[in-house]
Amino acid sequence: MSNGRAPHPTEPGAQLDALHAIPAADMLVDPGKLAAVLEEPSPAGAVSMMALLGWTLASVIVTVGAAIWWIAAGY
Amino acid sequence: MDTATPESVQPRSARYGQDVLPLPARDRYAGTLLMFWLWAGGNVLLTTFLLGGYYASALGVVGMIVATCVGSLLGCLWPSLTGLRSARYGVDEYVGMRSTFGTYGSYIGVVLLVAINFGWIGILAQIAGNSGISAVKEITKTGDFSTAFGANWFTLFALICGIVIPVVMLYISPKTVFRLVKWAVPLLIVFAFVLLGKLLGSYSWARLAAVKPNHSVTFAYAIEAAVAYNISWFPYMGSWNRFAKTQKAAFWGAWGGLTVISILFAVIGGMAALAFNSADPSAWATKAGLGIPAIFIIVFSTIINCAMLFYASVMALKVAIPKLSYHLVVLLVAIPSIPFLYQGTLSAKFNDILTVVGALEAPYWGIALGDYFLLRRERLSVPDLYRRRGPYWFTGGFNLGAIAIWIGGVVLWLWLAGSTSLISWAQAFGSSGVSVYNVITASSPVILLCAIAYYLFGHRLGWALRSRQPAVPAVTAAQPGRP
Repeated sequence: MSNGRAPHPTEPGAQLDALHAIPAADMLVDPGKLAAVLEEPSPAGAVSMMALLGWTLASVIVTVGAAIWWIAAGY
Repeated sequence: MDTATPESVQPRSARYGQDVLPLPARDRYAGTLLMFWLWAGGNVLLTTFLLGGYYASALGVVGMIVATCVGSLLGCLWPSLTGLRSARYGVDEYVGMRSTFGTYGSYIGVVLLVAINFGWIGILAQIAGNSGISAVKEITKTGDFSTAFGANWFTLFALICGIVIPVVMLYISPKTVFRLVKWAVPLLIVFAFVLLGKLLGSYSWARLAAVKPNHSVTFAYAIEAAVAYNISWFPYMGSWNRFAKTQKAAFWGAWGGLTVISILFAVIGGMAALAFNSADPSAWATKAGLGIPAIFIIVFSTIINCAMLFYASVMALKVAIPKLSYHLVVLLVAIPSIPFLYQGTLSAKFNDILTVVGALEAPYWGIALGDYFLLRRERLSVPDLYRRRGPYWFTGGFNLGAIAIWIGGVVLWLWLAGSTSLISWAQAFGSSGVSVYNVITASSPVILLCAIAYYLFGHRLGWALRSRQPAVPAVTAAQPGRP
């Protein structure tokens, strides 16, 4: 039994391997055209998960802080 | 297999960006600054002025500014995060969404997008029509100033700015939108500062600060309004972010562009509402003699936004039916918006859209965040996004686990914030959740809770139901990479 996560390629060329494993009849687009544009996502220019988590937490904290300020200021 | 590069991914081709195939990174041309102008252009809207005016009298000028800043910061963050999937893989929003809701389950988002677009286009074009009437009144003093259906100035301005020009732009190429925002948005920001200068010149900060809050709505309501307003960008992120050269360009461009303009315009709108005692931008712009800058903002913002909205609809429909002609869909998708030009008042539509966005979109895209970041750790099998009976097929094309969490999220949102809507049954249903809503608001908690609930339970349910389906072929080549 799977853990519920969909397969994901981690090795170079894995996206293309995944495409070749799919029966043509199951494809929703022309497999040849998809093969021509398929590539592995580049790590260059990516935003790290830690940075995203940090910005998310910071935004939530700022919002909660503003609400506390509003109550404390007694407007 | 014919592996010649399709025209739709060649930046110099007239057909660039007109198909649902992934755009390879080498063929994307929007850097951080261009993405910033694009998303800034997305929020350059009269409705963003209306946002600040919506709660300014309740909170006073300082409270309005604080609520706008934090609400915009948080509200713009969520769609900027979901847009990263399309920036990473170059796929449209609803192709990427197949990994979460299933091959056909992603069409729930398509329906939401297309339906909400009718309302948005109606609002935007209606504002353009009303502003056109004001301009003609100033110049000619006579004419047909009716806003009813028929041959009049309202229809002319609304149709030209809201439908005709955006459709012509998209018919030529979605690249025309990038060309327009590059010079129009900086100009519109300058106009916004002109408005701010004129406002502060006529009504000093001391006079604005002296206006006492009337507490007609709560601080939580104001934050929720700013969040719900900005998360209305959820359905559009992927269509445009796939043009971004890098994920950083997409994330910082979107978050920066949307947030800066949301704060600038909503604060100006809020201050103007306090100064002129009216939240309606067309009313205070006329009273303050801000005609020309305001009309420029209205005309260009309507064109940019309607083009952005229409393109997302066109691509969403092409995801559902890839063989549809791009140009035919561009022409057809605009027509159903026309009756909405003549429906309802601006304020009523604004509230309805905030309700629909909050209740339906917040949980839907919250689950997408949980799936992409928590469950899949940003890794997708792109070929499986374009197939039937694969790992994203789930149960007959629908991830029932995700759909169950979505329904739960909608119910939770309505319980928390239903009382703030103009829908009577939602008001009744939400009456018991008001006290909680006034502490935690609704959309942001629902986004977070749905993301976590999907990660912990939803995907397991979807997978368990899927396992009962017969003959689900395995994608063996990609499976070594399972987490």
